[in-house]
Amino acid sequence: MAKNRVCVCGNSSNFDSSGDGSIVCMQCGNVLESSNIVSEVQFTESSTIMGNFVSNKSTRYRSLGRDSRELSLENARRKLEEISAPLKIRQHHIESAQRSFELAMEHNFTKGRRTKLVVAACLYSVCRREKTPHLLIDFSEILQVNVFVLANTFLQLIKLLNLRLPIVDPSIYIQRFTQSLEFGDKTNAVAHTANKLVARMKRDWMSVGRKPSGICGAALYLASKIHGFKRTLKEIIHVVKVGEITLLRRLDEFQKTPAATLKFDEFDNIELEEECDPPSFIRARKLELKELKSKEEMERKLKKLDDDDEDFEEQEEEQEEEPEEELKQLEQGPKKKSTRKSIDDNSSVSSRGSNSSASSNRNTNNNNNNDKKRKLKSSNSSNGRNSSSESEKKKLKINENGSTKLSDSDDSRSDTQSQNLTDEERELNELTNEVERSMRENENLFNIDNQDGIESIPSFFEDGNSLQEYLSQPLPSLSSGKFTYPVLPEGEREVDPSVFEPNDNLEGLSDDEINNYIEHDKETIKKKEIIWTNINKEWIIKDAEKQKELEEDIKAGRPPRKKKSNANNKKAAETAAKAAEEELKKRIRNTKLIEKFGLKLPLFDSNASTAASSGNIVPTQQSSQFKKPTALRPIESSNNQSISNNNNSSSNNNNYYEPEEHTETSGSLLSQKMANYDYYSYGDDDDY
Amino acid sequence: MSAQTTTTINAQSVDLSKHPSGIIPTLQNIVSTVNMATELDLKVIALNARNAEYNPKRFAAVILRIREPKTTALIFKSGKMVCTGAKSEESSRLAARKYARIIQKLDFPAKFQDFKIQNIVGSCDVKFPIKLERLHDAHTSFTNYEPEIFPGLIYKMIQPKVVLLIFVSGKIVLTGAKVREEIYEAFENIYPVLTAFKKTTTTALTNI
Repeated sequence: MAKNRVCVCGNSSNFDSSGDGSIVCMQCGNVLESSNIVSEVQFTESSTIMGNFVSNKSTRYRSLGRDSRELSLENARRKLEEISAPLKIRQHHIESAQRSFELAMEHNFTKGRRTKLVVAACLYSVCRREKTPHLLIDFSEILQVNVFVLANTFLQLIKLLNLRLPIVDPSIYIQRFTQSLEFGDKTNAVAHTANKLVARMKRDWMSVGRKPSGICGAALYLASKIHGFKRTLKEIIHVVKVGEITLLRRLDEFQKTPAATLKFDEFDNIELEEECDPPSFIRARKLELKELKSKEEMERKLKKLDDDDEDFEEQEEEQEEEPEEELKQLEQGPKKKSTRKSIDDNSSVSSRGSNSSASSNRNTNNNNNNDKKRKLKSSNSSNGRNSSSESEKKKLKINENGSTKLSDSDDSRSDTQSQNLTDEERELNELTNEVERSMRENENLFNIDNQDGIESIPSFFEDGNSLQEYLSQPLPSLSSGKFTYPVLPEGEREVDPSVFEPNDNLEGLSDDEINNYIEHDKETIKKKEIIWTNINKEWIIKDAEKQKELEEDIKAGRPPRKKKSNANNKKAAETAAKAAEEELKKRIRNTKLIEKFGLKLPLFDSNASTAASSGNIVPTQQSSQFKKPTALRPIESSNNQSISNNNNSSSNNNNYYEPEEHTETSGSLLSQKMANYDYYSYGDDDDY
Repeated sequence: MSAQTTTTINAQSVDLSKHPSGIIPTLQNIVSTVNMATELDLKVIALNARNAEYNPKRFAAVILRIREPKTTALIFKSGKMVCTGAKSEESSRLAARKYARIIQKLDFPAKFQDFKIQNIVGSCDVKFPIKLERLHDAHTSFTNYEPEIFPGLIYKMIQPKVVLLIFVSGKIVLTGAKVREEIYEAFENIYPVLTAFKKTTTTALTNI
C-alpha cells in the first residue's frame, strides 16, 4: 500500500510515519509529508469506502455541498486565510478565529453582515486576546473598508460573544514597527529605547484614550533620533498609520513632560518618580485658568476704565502682540526650572536658561506655540535634522527646532520678553484689549441686527459717515425688526410641563420675524430656481421618471414598490414567453451560462431571444424551433408560464429541468453543475 | 465636542439635595420631532425660504436654519420635521413652532402635532483625571473602551437609559435622555464611581 518514497538524501526505506501523521526521513530529518489524515482511500469487504481524501485545507470537500452552513463556513475559512496571509497570523490563531466565527454564526450574527467583516472581527478579537501586534487598521486596509465600519462589527461581536479583551498595550507593537523601519543591526537597541519611552509615556498618562499606534510612532521617532537614524515623520507615519498632526501632538505632549528634560544617558539610568496628569486634563485646566484670568482682568480693567481717560490709539500699536504673549505664558509646561547649563549648543536638551542657544533659535521658536504653524515647524525640523545628523550618536542630540527636541527653549525666551515689558505697558495693552473686545461685540450686535432685516446701518457707514454722526442719529425703532420673547432664566430650573404638549396652534409668534426668513423678492426666487434646477438636473430627470412609473403603477392597480433596482426589468412582460424568460434569467442570472449549457433561448419566440441578447442563435433554429427534438424546448407554448412551478406541471416541463437526459453533448456532470450552481458559484462575496 | 463645560456654578446656587455632586451638567443639544401633517413640496420651500438648503441627491430633506433660537431643522416631504441644536426644551419647542409657522407662511396647511423631545445631550467636567482602564475593568458589562477606535470610555447605563462618554480629562458627555432629569440622574449615579477611579493629582499642576 505504501508508495515508494525517496527522500532528497537518497534514503528510500527508513521513514518514520508514526505519531502525528507526518512522514519524516529518519536519515536527514526531512519532513516529506505532514498532517495527512488519510493518504489513501481504502476499500473494505463491503462496498463502503474507508476514509475520504481530505486535503489540508479542504476547500473542495463538497459531498454535502448543499448545506449552506457548510458552505458559508468554508467561505469564511477561505477569507480567514486571505486576510491572515499578509498579516502573518499564526495557524492556531486562525483556527481560533474560525471557532469564534462558528459561534457567531450560531447566534445568527453573520446574517445581514458581510462575511469578510465578521471574519476580520473574529480574527482581530483573537489577535487582541493573544496580544499579537496587529491593529484594527491593518485589517481594514486589507479588506479595503472603513476602519470604523469594521470597528462597529467588532464591537458588536465582542458584545455578542461576551468577550473580555485586554486593553491594547502600545509596547507590543514596537517590535513590529521597528522591524519595518529597518534599523539594521541596531533594531534591538532602538526597540529597547522605544519601549522605555512608551513606558515613560504610559506613566505620564499620555497613552490613555490614545491610539496605541500614535504613542508608538512618537516613541519610535524619538528612539530613532537617539540612535542617530534619519527617519522622517513621513516614514514613521507610513509604518504606524496615524496622521501627521496626531504624531506631532504626541511629540508635543511628550515634550511637556519632565522626562523630556533628561538627556539620553540620564534617561537610561534615572527613573523619575513623578507622574504627570493626562495632557488633555492639563489643557482643560489651562483653558479654565485663562478664562478665569481674563474674566478677572476684565472686571479690574473696567473699574480702571472709569477713572482713567487715556488715549487709545497709541496703545493700539502694541495690542497685537499681547494675546500671543499671554498665551505663551500660559502654555509653559508643568516643569520645574532647571539651572543646568548647556553642554553643547546643538543639544537643546539643556538649553533652558542658556540664552545663547535661545537667541539662535528665536526665529524658529516663534512658531513653537502656534498651532497654526505646525506644518511649517515640521518642515523646519526636517531641515535641521539633516544638518545635525553627523554628530555623535549616543548623545540625545536633537536639533534646534521645535518638534524633535525633548525640551523647549522658548520658555527662556518668553520669560525675558515678558520682563522687557514693564508693568505699565502691560496694563496699557490689556486695556486696549478690553476696548477692542467690547468694540467687537458691538460690531457683532450690528451684524445681527442687519441680518435680521435692519438695513440702515451698513448703508449709513458706506456713505462715509463717521461713528459720531451715526450715534447722533435717532435709533431705529426696535419694534420694526425685532420681536422679543420672554427671556428664559438660565441655570437650574423646572421645565414647564407645557413644553411636552404634543400639539400646538402656533399662535403668539412674531410675523415680522418669520417674514425675515421668507424670500419675498420674485427675482431672487427666479434666480434661485435657475441655479437649483441646473445643479440638480440629473435628479430632476430621475425623479420625473420615478413619478411616471409610480403613476403607471397606480393606474395598473399594483401596489407601490419600495425600491427599484432596475427600472427596465420591472416592466410587465408583454407575452407569456417573455415572462418565462424573465423567470429563467432570474434563476440562472447569467446569460452566458444559458448559452454554455445549451439552455439557449431558442425555446422562446424570436423577439424574446433577441431581447435576451443571445446573439449566436442560428436562423434555422428559429424557424424550426418547435420541431427540433430538444428536451429544452417545451412542447406546448402554454407550458411556458408554468416553468416556475414545475411541481404540478406535466412531464414535459420536468424535462426542462433535466436537459442531460436528452442532450447528447452533456452528461450528468452538467446536471450537477446546474443543480449546484446557485449554491457555490456565486459564493464569492455573498453571505448565505 | 467644543462644549463649554463650566458648570460648577457657585456652590450656594446648586441645590445639593438634587445635585449631591455639586455639578449640574449643561444641556448642549436637544433633538425634537414634530409632524406637520401635510405633504410638502420641498422645492418650493427650498426656493422660498431664505436660509434653506436642499440637495436631493445627497439627502431627501430641506435643511432650514433660524437664528433665534439658533437651531437647524430637517423638513421631509411627508411633513415630518426634526429640530436640532436647541439648548433647552423650551427653545427647542419655540424653534419647532417657528419652523412650522414658516412652512405655513409658504402656503402649506401645516399643523403642529406629535411634538416630542427625542434626545437630550448634556456635558460637564468633573475636573479630575479618571483612570479609564481601571473603570473599564471594574464595569466591563456596561463599558466599552477601545482607544484604537474612540478615545473615550463609553458607559451604557441601564437605569436611566443614558449613554455616557467619559474622557480621561474628566469631561463627561451624557446622551440618550428624553427628559433632563435623566441626564441629572445619570450623572449623579456615575459621579461616585468616577471619584472612585480618580487619578490622584500630582504637583505638576502647581507650576502652571
